Amino acid sequence: MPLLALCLLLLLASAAVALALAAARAPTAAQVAATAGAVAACAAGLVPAARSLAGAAPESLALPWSAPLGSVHLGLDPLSAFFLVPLLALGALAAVYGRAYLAHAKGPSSPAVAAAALNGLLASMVLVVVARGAVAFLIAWEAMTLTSYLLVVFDHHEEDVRRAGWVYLIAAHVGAACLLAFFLMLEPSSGAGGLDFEQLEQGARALGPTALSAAALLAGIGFGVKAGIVPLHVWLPEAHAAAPSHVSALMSGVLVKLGLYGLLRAGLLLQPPAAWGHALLALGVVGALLGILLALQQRDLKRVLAYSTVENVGIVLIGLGLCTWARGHGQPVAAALALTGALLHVWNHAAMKGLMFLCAGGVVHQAGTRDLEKMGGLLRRMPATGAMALLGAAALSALPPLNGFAGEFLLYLGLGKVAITAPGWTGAAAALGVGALALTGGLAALTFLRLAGVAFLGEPRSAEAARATEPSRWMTWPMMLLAGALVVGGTSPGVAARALWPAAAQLLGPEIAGAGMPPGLHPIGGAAVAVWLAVGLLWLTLRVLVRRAPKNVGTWDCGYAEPTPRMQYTARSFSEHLVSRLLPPWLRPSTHRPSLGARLFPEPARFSTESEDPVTRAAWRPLLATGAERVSRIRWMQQGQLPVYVVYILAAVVAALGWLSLRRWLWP
Amino acid sequence: MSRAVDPLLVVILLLNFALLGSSRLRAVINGTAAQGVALGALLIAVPAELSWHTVLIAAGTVALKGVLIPGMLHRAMRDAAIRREVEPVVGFIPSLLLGGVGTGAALLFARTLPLAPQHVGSLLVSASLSTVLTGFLLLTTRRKAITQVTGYLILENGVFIMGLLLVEAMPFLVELGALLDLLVAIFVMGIIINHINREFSSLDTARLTALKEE
Amino acid sequence: MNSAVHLAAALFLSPLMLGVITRVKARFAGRRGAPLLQPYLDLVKLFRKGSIFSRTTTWVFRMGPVVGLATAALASLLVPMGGRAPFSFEGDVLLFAYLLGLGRFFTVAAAMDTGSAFEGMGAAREVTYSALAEPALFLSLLVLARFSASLSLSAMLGPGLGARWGTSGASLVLVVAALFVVLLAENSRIPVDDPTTHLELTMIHEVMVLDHGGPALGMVLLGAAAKLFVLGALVAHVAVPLGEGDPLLGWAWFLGAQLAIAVAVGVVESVMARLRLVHVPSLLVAACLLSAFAVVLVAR
Repeated sequence: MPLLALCLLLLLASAAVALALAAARAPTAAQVAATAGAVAACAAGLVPAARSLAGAAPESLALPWSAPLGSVHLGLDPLSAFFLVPLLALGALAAVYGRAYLAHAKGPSSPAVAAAALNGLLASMVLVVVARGAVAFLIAWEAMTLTSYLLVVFDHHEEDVRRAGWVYLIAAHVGAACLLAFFLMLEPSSGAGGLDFEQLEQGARALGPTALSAAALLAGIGFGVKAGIVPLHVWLPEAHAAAPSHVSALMSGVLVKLGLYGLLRAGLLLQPPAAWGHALLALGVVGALLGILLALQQRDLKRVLAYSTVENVGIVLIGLGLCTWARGHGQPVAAALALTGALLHVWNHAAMKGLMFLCAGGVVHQAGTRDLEKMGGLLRRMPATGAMALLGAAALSALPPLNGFAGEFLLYLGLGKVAITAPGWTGAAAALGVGALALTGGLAALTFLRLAGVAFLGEPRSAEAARATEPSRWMTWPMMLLAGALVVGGTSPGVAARALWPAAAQLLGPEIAGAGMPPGLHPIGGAAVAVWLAVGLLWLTLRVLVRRAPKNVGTWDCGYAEPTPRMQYTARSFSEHLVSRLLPPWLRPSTHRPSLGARLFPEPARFSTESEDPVTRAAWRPLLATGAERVSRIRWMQQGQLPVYVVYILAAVVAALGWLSLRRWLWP
Repeated sequence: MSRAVDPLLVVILLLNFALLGSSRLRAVINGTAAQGVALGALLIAVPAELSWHTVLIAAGTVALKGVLIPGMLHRAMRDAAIRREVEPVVGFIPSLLLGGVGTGAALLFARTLPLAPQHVGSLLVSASLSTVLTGFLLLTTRRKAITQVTGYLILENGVFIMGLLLVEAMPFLVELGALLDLLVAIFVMGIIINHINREFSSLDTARLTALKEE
Repeated sequence: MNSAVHLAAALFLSPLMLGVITRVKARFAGRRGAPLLQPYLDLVKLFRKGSIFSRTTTWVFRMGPVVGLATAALASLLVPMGGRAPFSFEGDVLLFAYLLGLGRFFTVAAAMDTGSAFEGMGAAREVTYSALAEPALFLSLLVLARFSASLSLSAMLGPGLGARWGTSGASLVLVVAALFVVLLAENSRIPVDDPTTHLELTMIHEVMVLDHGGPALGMVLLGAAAKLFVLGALVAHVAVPLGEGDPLLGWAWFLGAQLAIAVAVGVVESVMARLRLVHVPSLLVAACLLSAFAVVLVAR
């Protein structure tokens, strides 16, 4: 616990030092100070987290604070430690990467302030995870939103970045309002009031079923906005695409998972009945499919990755939903498998998506664009970044021998167990869940082959892409560490599963967890090693067999004489068959065709497509438009004159005082 | 609670009426200053025993509300080169009548509140409510920005008087709170006056309607 | 020992299946056809040829054939052939499917690495169709898993399946049909793709390997044959299940079943034409629906 406090202190102190140095016109020193502080703090924080996962008893720390709603109560239990590990690891790597990434930033924002804001973001995220009282939790949650907003609008000289920042801020605050209502609902009415989690647990036990459902809905909306659960995910692609790449990596890898942490904590407080598992499962399946179907339509490199995050959150939700359902329906093995798979996928996805966003940052840095259609052939120009991006793409498609396969393997096993043992419609539904997961996996392979293939393989489609080179080693070393984690996680998935088992045990409860960790990951590790060996062996065989290979020959392409890079398949064409023929119209991108033949002579015409999120188009935009139209009827209250507003305040005060005396008169 | 409290409160009530009826800006600012001094005196009169820190806070109140802030307002008045308040929205006589009605209502209302025994029968709550109402009236009905600032100051005075009820229970907190948000208000008001003056070359806040969204 | 036998079968017996298919098609067309061992001669020729690699390509291009062959060979270790599979554990069916997916991933990546329009076209089609074929494969295997109450291929395709034909014949017929369609799709056979066409615009798999030559093309060919063998083994075990017995008998029966499947594929290729590309997804979705229907039938 003291090490954790040291970690927080280091983060805040280095942020303050960075701000001071930035004000003193020493931006390089400020950035170095912030980065060094972040790395040291994350190293310090990982020790108690690892200790807690290794089996140390949960610790807690109570800071007395004479605020009206109680003291500041912090604690470290296996669930918090589970989320601390990717937070601190990815945070340190993002800080190191960000220093080099922002060093070449063009624009009005100061990189030193961004580095300080990153440390602030890390500190607030750590505080969210270790808070044990609603007050500390909400303060840290708000601080997290504000610091991440500052980082998202780093390039605020661009219009769409500003817009993305607004959408993010509004969505986050809608969620925060729901969370406030949720915590207040759970406050116990009898006994000592207060908002510590133990007291909230008692308050939750006293709630009736409708109140419990309402509280769960509030928690679901509040945490679901942050986690990116459909239909509350619309801010995610905007914010993650607009932010600088190391911030996107941190947001996709960690911030979104803190929404899941909140859901798990709320689950521990509310003890949901098994029927809610159905809702979580359904949301998970819808989210996974919608996320991946939208990902394969995007032109912007980072939007593809952001929608893929939505898909992966859906996959985690499938696991959580299955676990909730299975606990109440006498399937302890399936529950343990599903939860372990979901938690393993959280860790794996943090590493995989972090790596992909860092690679994307290197690409954007060098090729100067986020547009997939202007990239190509980057593997030859940035061999290390490209290789790691291909590794990440394979991992995100859940392919062995990498770590993405292990988490989904456990989820499949859990679903499969229910499918083969449960009678009637339950078994059929679980089987269809397996089918949906398989479809998502196939579409994910499509999406990431499209991403990696169009960006890194083939010939460059623009002059800027042709001039790209390997980014600096401060940017490639964090990527290599993450790529190593992917490989190691693939060959020894049992290690990670054993490490996170205490967190799963805490969530499952003693009866199910007492049966021990579900076996089944050993052969996966062995298979991964076998794959590496077989591939290595055959690679060497091919090297031996290949003789007399002349260099500097163009692609044969069936004898085509003059191929140009523009003839390659574009990103849009790659997904065209699926998108234009197999998707319903509301899921396809909207096209604006030029109107031809209206006039006598040819005129300039434009053709464009845009892929707006269908949930925004169908649900949020009309809802907000109707709301705005209704609310504009009371526009007359905005007179623009100060005295009128003061009259409003006066009227409110007089009404309150009048109510007070009236009440005393009516009910003495 | 010494015997000087009630007379001081009566002085404050009379100053309220003076502010409501006066059209000369100089008089309005001086009336605000006088009310600040009366508040400082009230602070010494209300608590049963006198500690040196209460004297210190009272001195600070007098300095801030009686000298410093009116000084700033006088300087603003001189810089903007205005002398008189234009005819307010409600008119001077009707403002006075409204103030009188409000003070009466405050007196009646104060009797219905569940006060601590040592405060029952005192004018503290009614004076506070009446001062608050005066402040509101000034804010609402006057057109010049400086008068609206004094209206806000009177409002703060009213809240301060209500806080005097708690001076024995939580002395430091009340004082600090009152003085702190007074400071903030002055900064904000100073900036607003400056900006209004620069933007519209006048201190007529009716010009602010140009900012209204259509 | 069992592993070596499985690997040998997958690598050395699989080209024979290709030869049988070609022979059947030739016979249907009224020709004599190439010798049954022609694929072996082709492989030997290819492994002795020189290679040319385009300057556009990178190590990914060479990885395509390597990973394709490696994954098909490793997948053969998970499938029971004459007896139990050398490696079986709970959930190995998932590893099986995803190993084939890994092979496909790198084949497609190698195609995109050439920077050519044709190969990109093949890549796009291949990933779309395989994404649709995955659910069909998984759902069919789930039906078998429900029958055997296990998620291991050796148990699912084991001896108990024969008895199931009596009780749940309808669902097993659906499973066989769905698995056969998946076999045709994954191995680029008519009606999904025509392996003998020379028009690039109509190709899927053939166009992806257009730029490979020499030993690399040999590996591609061998990998494709192994994949056909492995997926055919799945269909064989479901369609013609054998009970427990003498391992030699088991192997003999298994090889006979594989030959029968090769003949069936040849027949299908001869009597049907390739579907229009826009209708191929309908076929795959139909396979998904068949297997989903089988699941529902079994679950009630």
